[in-house]
Amino acid sequence: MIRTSLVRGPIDVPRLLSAAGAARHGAVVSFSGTVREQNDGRAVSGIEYSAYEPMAAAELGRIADEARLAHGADTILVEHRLGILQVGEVSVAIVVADPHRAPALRAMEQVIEELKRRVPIWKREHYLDGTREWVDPTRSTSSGASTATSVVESSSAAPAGTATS
Amino acid sequence: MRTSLDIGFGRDENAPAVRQVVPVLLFAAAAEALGAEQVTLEVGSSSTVDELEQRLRAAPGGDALPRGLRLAVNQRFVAGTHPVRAGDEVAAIPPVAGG
Repeated sequence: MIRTSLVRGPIDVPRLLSAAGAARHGAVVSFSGTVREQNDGRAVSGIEYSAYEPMAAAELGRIADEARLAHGADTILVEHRLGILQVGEVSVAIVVADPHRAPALRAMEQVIEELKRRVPIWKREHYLDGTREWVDPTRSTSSGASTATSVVESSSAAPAGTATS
Repeated sequence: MRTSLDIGFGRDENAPAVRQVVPVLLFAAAAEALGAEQVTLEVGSSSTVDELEQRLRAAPGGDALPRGLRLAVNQRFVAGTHPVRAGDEVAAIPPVAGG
Protein backbone atom coordinates (compact mmCIF):
# COMPACT_ATOMS: atom_id res chain seq x y z
CA MET A 1 0.00 0.00 0.00
CA ILE A 2 1.19 3.47 -0.89
CA ARG A 3 -0.53 6.61 0.34
CA THR A 4 0.94 10.09 0.13
CA SER A 5 -0.71 13.42 0.80
CA LEU A 6 -0.35 17.10 1.53
CA VAL A 7 -2.41 18.13 4.55
CA ARG A 8 -3.42 21.45 6.12
CA GLY A 9 -4.16 20.26 9.64
CA PRO A 10 -2.12 18.50 12.33
CA ILE A 11 -0.59 15.15 11.38
CA ASP A 12 -1.83 12.24 13.50
CA VAL A 13 1.20 9.94 13.70
CA PRO A 14 -0.49 7.18 15.80
CA ARG A 15 -3.26 7.02 13.20
CA LEU A 16 -0.64 6.60 10.43
CA LEU A 17 1.08 3.83 12.40
CA SER A 18 -2.23 2.12 12.87
CA ALA A 19 -3.04 2.48 9.16
CA ALA A 20 0.30 0.85 8.31
CA GLY A 21 -0.98 -2.32 9.94
CA ALA A 22 1.67 -3.18 12.49
CA ALA A 23 0.05 -6.54 13.16
CA ARG A 24 0.72 -7.75 9.65
CA HIS A 25 4.31 -6.51 9.61
CA GLY A 26 7.37 -7.44 11.62
CA ALA A 27 8.93 -4.03 11.02
CA VAL A 28 7.37 -0.60 11.22
CA VAL A 29 9.69 2.38 10.73
CA SER A 30 8.44 5.86 11.54
CA PHE A 31 10.01 9.26 10.88
CA SER A 32 8.60 12.55 12.11
CA GLY A 33 10.08 15.87 11.07
CA THR A 34 9.31 18.61 13.57
CA VAL A 35 9.73 22.38 13.67
CA ARG A 36 12.92 23.10 15.57
CA GLU A 37 13.12 26.03 17.95
CA GLN A 38 16.45 27.21 16.58
CA ASN A 39 17.86 27.18 13.08
CA ASP A 40 21.25 28.53 12.12
CA GLY A 41 21.53 30.11 15.56
CA ARG A 42 18.33 32.13 15.30
CA ALA A 43 15.29 31.66 17.53
CA VAL A 44 12.38 30.46 15.43
CA SER A 45 8.76 31.17 16.42
CA GLY A 46 7.17 29.20 13.59
CA ILE A 47 7.49 28.03 10.01
CA GLU A 48 5.26 28.68 7.05
CA TYR A 49 5.21 25.82 4.53
CA SER A 50 3.99 26.37 0.98
CA ALA A 51 4.08 24.19 -2.13
CA TYR A 52 3.55 23.91 -5.85
CA GLU A 53 0.77 21.61 -4.81
CA PRO A 54 0.00 19.49 -7.90
CA MET A 55 3.68 18.81 -8.55
CA ALA A 56 4.48 18.25 -4.86
CA ALA A 57 1.66 15.71 -4.61
CA ALA A 58 2.85 13.99 -7.81
CA GLU A 59 6.51 13.90 -6.69
CA LEU A 60 5.58 12.45 -3.29
CA GLY A 61 3.71 9.66 -5.05
CA ARG A 62 6.56 9.02 -7.48
CA ILE A 63 9.11 8.95 -4.65
CA ALA A 64 7.07 6.40 -2.69
CA ASP A 65 6.62 4.28 -5.82
CA GLU A 66 10.35 4.36 -6.56
CA ALA A 67 11.32 3.45 -2.98
CA ARG A 68 8.86 0.58 -2.96
CA LEU A 69 10.19 -0.71 -6.27
CA ALA A 70 13.84 -0.31 -5.22
CA HIS A 71 13.55 -2.00 -1.83
CA GLY A 72 10.37 -4.02 -2.01
CA ALA A 73 8.88 -2.39 1.07
CA ASP A 74 5.24 -3.35 1.49
CA THR A 75 3.65 -0.18 2.85
CA ILE A 76 4.73 3.47 2.55
CA LEU A 77 2.65 6.29 4.01
CA VAL A 78 3.69 9.94 3.74
CA GLU A 79 1.95 13.08 4.99
CA HIS A 80 3.46 16.54 4.59
CA ARG A 81 1.79 19.48 6.25
CA LEU A 82 1.40 22.95 4.68
CA GLY A 83 0.53 26.28 6.31
CA ILE A 84 1.86 27.87 9.46
CA LEU A 85 3.33 25.51 12.07
CA GLN A 86 4.48 26.24 15.60
CA VAL A 87 7.71 25.03 17.16
CA GLY A 88 7.48 21.32 17.99
CA GLU A 89 4.68 20.51 15.55
CA VAL A 90 5.11 17.68 13.04
CA SER A 91 5.74 18.95 9.49
CA VAL A 92 6.21 15.57 7.84
CA ALA A 93 5.50 12.00 8.87
CA ILE A 94 6.62 8.89 7.02
CA VAL A 95 5.73 5.34 7.99
CA VAL A 96 7.21 2.34 6.19
CA ALA A 97 6.09 -1.17 7.08
CA ASP A 98 7.25 -4.54 5.86
CA PRO A 99 7.53 -8.08 7.18
CA HIS A 100 11.30 -7.46 7.49
CA ARG A 101 13.32 -4.54 8.76
CA ALA A 102 15.92 -4.18 5.99
CA PRO A 103 13.56 -3.14 3.19
CA ALA A 104 11.65 -0.88 5.59
CA LEU A 105 14.76 0.94 6.84
CA ARG A 106 16.22 1.36 3.35
CA ALA A 107 12.97 2.57 1.84
CA MET A 108 12.56 5.07 4.69
CA GLU A 109 15.96 6.61 4.04
CA GLN A 110 15.30 6.88 0.32
CA VAL A 111 11.90 8.52 0.83
CA ILE A 112 13.09 11.24 3.21
CA GLU A 113 16.25 12.00 1.21
CA GLU A 114 14.37 12.25 -2.09
CA LEU A 115 11.62 14.30 -0.45
CA LYS A 116 14.19 16.85 0.67
CA ARG A 117 15.84 16.86 -2.73
CA ARG A 118 12.93 17.22 -5.12
CA VAL A 119 9.48 17.85 -3.66
CA PRO A 120 8.58 21.48 -4.42
CA ILE A 121 7.81 22.60 -0.89
CA TRP A 122 9.28 25.75 0.65
CA LYS A 123 9.46 27.06 4.15
CA ARG A 124 9.69 30.57 5.43
CA GLU A 125 10.96 30.81 8.95
CA HIS A 126 9.45 33.38 11.26
CA TYR A 127 11.93 34.53 13.88
CA LEU A 128 11.23 35.78 17.38
CA ASP A 129 12.58 39.20 16.37
CA GLY A 130 9.68 39.57 13.89
CA THR A 131 11.67 39.00 10.69
CA ARG A 132 11.07 36.12 8.28
CA GLU A 133 13.12 34.47 5.60
CA TRP A 134 12.84 31.75 2.94
CA VAL A 135 15.03 28.80 3.84
CA ASP A 136 17.52 27.96 1.09
CA PRO A 137 19.30 24.69 1.92
CA THR A 138 21.80 25.27 -0.90
CA ARG A 139 23.06 28.41 0.82
CA SER A 140 23.95 27.32 4.32
CA THR A 141 25.66 30.02 6.32
CA SER A 142 27.21 27.58 8.79
CA SER A 143 27.38 29.23 12.18
CA GLY A 144 29.15 26.71 14.32
CA ALA A 145 27.36 23.67 13.00
CA SER A 146 29.59 20.70 12.38
CA THR A 147 28.30 19.88 8.91
CA ALA A 148 26.37 21.65 6.19
CA THR A 149 23.67 19.04 6.54
CA SER A 150 23.00 19.82 10.15
CA VAL A 151 22.59 23.50 9.31
CA VAL A 152 19.83 22.88 6.82
CA GLU A 153 18.21 19.91 8.50
CA SER A 154 15.01 21.07 10.11
CA SER A 155 13.69 17.69 11.06
CA SER A 156 14.57 15.34 13.82
CA ALA A 157 14.32 11.62 13.61
CA ALA A 158 11.87 10.00 15.97
CA PRO A 159 12.25 6.25 15.62
CA ALA A 160 9.05 4.71 16.86
CA GLY A 161 9.26 1.39 15.19
CA THR A 162 9.42 -2.18 16.21
CA ALA A 163 11.76 -4.48 14.41
CA THR A 164 11.24 -8.01 15.40
CA SER A 165 12.09 -9.65 12.12
CA MET B 1 2.37 41.23 -5.41
CA ARG B 2 0.87 41.07 -8.88
CA THR B 3 -0.86 37.88 -9.89
CA SER B 4 0.55 37.90 -13.39
CA LEU B 5 3.13 39.81 -15.37
CA ASP B 6 3.73 39.81 -19.11
CA ILE B 7 7.39 39.85 -20.03
CA GLY B 8 7.24 40.83 -23.66
CA PHE B 9 10.92 40.98 -24.45
CA GLY B 10 12.63 38.60 -26.81
CA ARG B 11 10.02 39.26 -29.48
CA ASP B 12 11.15 38.40 -32.98
CA GLU B 13 10.05 40.79 -35.75
CA ASN B 14 9.53 37.82 -38.04
CA ALA B 15 7.57 35.85 -35.49
CA PRO B 16 4.13 34.60 -36.48
CA ALA B 17 1.26 37.00 -35.89
CA VAL B 18 -0.20 34.72 -33.24
CA ARG B 19 1.97 34.90 -30.13
CA GLN B 20 3.03 31.57 -28.72
CA VAL B 21 3.30 31.93 -24.98
CA VAL B 22 3.76 29.82 -21.87
CA PRO B 23 2.86 30.64 -18.29
CA VAL B 24 5.78 30.44 -15.87
CA LEU B 25 4.54 29.86 -12.32
CA LEU B 26 6.74 31.50 -9.69
CA PHE B 27 7.05 30.24 -6.13
CA ALA B 28 8.52 31.38 -2.82
CA ALA B 29 11.75 33.35 -3.32
CA ALA B 30 11.26 33.38 -7.10
CA ALA B 31 7.86 35.07 -6.76
CA GLU B 32 9.36 37.56 -4.36
CA ALA B 33 12.26 38.36 -6.72
CA LEU B 34 10.07 39.11 -9.75
CA GLY B 35 7.16 40.57 -7.76
CA ALA B 36 4.55 38.30 -9.33
CA GLU B 37 3.15 34.81 -8.93
CA GLN B 38 3.22 34.15 -12.65
CA VAL B 39 4.86 35.60 -15.74
CA THR B 40 4.08 34.98 -19.38
CA LEU B 41 6.93 34.34 -21.78
CA GLU B 42 6.88 34.06 -25.55
CA VAL B 43 8.30 30.88 -26.97
CA GLY B 44 9.48 29.92 -30.44
CA SER B 45 10.09 26.59 -32.13
CA SER B 46 13.56 26.30 -30.59
CA SER B 47 12.82 27.49 -27.04
CA THR B 48 14.43 25.50 -24.24
CA VAL B 49 14.33 25.51 -20.45
CA ASP B 50 17.80 27.10 -20.28
CA GLU B 51 16.73 29.90 -22.60
CA LEU B 52 13.62 30.63 -20.53
CA GLU B 53 15.71 30.74 -17.37
CA GLN B 54 18.09 33.25 -18.97
CA ARG B 55 15.16 35.47 -19.88
CA LEU B 56 13.75 35.26 -16.35
CA ARG B 57 17.13 36.29 -14.99
CA ALA B 58 17.25 39.24 -17.42
CA ALA B 59 13.78 40.47 -16.34
CA PRO B 60 13.41 43.25 -13.75
CA GLY B 61 14.22 41.67 -10.37
CA GLY B 62 15.77 38.65 -12.09
CA ASP B 63 19.13 39.27 -10.47
CA ALA B 64 17.50 38.38 -7.13
CA LEU B 65 16.41 34.91 -8.31
CA PRO B 66 18.08 32.17 -6.26
CA ARG B 67 21.18 30.63 -7.82
CA GLY B 68 19.84 27.12 -7.26
CA LEU B 69 16.66 27.79 -9.26
CA ARG B 70 15.33 24.82 -11.27
CA LEU B 71 12.63 24.86 -13.90
CA ALA B 72 9.94 22.21 -14.15
CA VAL B 73 7.90 21.54 -17.28
CA ASN B 74 4.47 20.01 -16.86
CA GLN B 75 5.21 19.27 -13.20
CA ARG B 76 8.48 17.42 -13.73
CA PHE B 77 12.09 18.50 -13.39
CA VAL B 78 13.76 18.36 -16.80
CA ALA B 79 17.20 19.01 -18.29
CA GLY B 80 18.11 22.51 -19.47
CA THR B 81 17.98 21.38 -23.09
CA HIS B 82 14.35 20.29 -22.74
CA PRO B 83 12.15 22.06 -25.33
CA VAL B 84 9.33 24.33 -24.21
CA ARG B 85 6.27 24.77 -26.38
CA ALA B 86 3.02 26.70 -26.18
CA GLY B 87 0.65 24.77 -23.97
CA ASP B 88 3.35 23.67 -21.55
CA GLU B 89 3.16 24.64 -17.89
CA VAL B 90 6.52 25.90 -16.70
CA ALA B 91 7.37 26.51 -13.06
CA ALA B 92 10.36 28.27 -11.51
CA ILE B 93 11.34 26.22 -8.48
CA PRO B 94 13.70 27.79 -5.91
CA PRO B 95 15.77 25.37 -3.79
CA VAL B 96 13.21 23.17 -2.07
CA ALA B 97 13.03 22.93 1.71
CA GLY B 98 10.41 20.33 2.56
CA GLY B 99 10.64 17.96 5.47
